[in-house]
Amino acid sequence: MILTAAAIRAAQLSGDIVIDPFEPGRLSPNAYDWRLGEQIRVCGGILDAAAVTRCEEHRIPAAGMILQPENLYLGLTWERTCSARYAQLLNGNRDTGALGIWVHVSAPLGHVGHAIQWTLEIRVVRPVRVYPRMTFGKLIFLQVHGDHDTYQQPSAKYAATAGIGLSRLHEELTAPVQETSHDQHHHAAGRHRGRSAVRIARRQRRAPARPVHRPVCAAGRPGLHARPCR
Amino acid sequence: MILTGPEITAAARDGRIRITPFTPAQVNPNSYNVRLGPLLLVYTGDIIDPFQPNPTRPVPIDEAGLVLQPGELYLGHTIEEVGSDVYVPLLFGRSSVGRLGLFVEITAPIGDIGFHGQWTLMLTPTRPLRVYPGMKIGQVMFFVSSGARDLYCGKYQGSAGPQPSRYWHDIRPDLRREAS
Repeated sequence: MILTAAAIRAAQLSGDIVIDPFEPGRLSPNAYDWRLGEQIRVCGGILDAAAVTRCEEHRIPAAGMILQPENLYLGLTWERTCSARYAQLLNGNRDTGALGIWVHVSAPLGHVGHAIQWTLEIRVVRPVRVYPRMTFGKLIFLQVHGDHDTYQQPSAKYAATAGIGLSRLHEELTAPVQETSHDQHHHAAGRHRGRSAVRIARRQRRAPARPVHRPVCAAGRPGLHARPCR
Repeated sequence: MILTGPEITAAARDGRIRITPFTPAQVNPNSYNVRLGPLLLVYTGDIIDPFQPNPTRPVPIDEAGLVLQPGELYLGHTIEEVGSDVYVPLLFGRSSVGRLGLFVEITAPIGDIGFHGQWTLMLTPTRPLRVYPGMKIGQVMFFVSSGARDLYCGKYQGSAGPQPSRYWHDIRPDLRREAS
C-alpha cells in the first residue's frame, strides 16, 4: 500500500520516516516532492562496468547549468531520507518528465533501512537547464509485507554513502570468488586491460538469521538536524 | 497492494476508478491498457528551461503513422481519461512497446490520487520507430493507499491533450530565471 500525504506526515512526526530537511508544503496527495541538490558529476566518454567511473564534479550555479543528451550525470537529492519501516520509490514528476529529464536509470527502489541522500542518474533527451534545489520528483513510501530485513548491513555497498555515489559494480566484478560454481564464472576476452579474466563474485547469499540493525539516521549532512529513525 | 483486472473493472463500474472511455477488452490481469492519442507536441527551442514557458509545435499522427526519431522528445497523450479518488495510479509502457525500444514515460510513473484527465506521455525512441494513433501504448495500474486522502488539485487537473511542462508555473515571476 502507498502512503497518503497524511500518513507520510504522521510517520514523519513519529519518526518512522525521516526526510531531512522536511517541509510540510512539499507533501502531495501520495508523495513527498523532493529537490535536486547543488552538486553534480558529469560522466562522459566510455564507461566500464569493471572500472571506477571517472567524472568531474561541479556545483550547479544559481543561474542553472545546461545538461546535454550525450552525458550521464550523477546528482544528489537535497533531502536525506530514511525509513526502517517503509520501502521507498524515488521518481521524477510530470514537470521533469515533460522536460525530458530522467532522474534515475531504471532503479527507483530504496530498500527498507536505506538512510542516505539519493544518488541520481540523470539523463536528458534534449539540452535542458537545471537549477540547484529545484523540485525534481516524487518520493513515495510503501508498506512492506513479510518479515523485515534491512539495508543496514556490512555488505550493503551503498548503505553509508556520503555525497554522490559512483557505481561500485566493479567491486563485484573483481572481488575474489569465495565459493564457486560453474555458472558464476564469466570470462571476458582481452577487453579488460591487464586482466586475463574477470570473475563475477558470488552474490551475497542472504543469511537466514542476520540480526536487524537499526539504521543510524544521525549521520546526515553537517549542520542539519538529525533525528533517530525507529 | 495492486488491483487485479476484475477489481479494476468493478471499480470502473462503481466509480472508485474513472476511465473514459472504458473498454473491458483493454483490462489486463493487473492493469488497464491505454491508447496513444493522435496529437504530439515537440519543443522548438534549442534549450529547454524549466523556469520559463517553452514554445512547442504540434505534430499530428495520421492513420499511416509517424516515425519518431531518437534524440527528440515527443509529448503525447492517452485517449483515455484515467483517474481515481481512491487508488494511486501508476503508468508504464507496455512490454510490447518497450521491446520496440520506446520509452513511454520519463521517470514519472506515479499519478496523484484525485487527478482526472488524459495523461501526458513522454515518448522517446531508442531507434526510429513508427507509431500509430489509437495503438495500445501503456498500462495503468492501481495501488491501494494507506492513510487519510487529500485529493489532487494541481496544475494538470483535467488535462486534455499533451501538456508541456508547466514547472515555471510554480516559480515566482521575479525568480523565473534564478534558482530559489
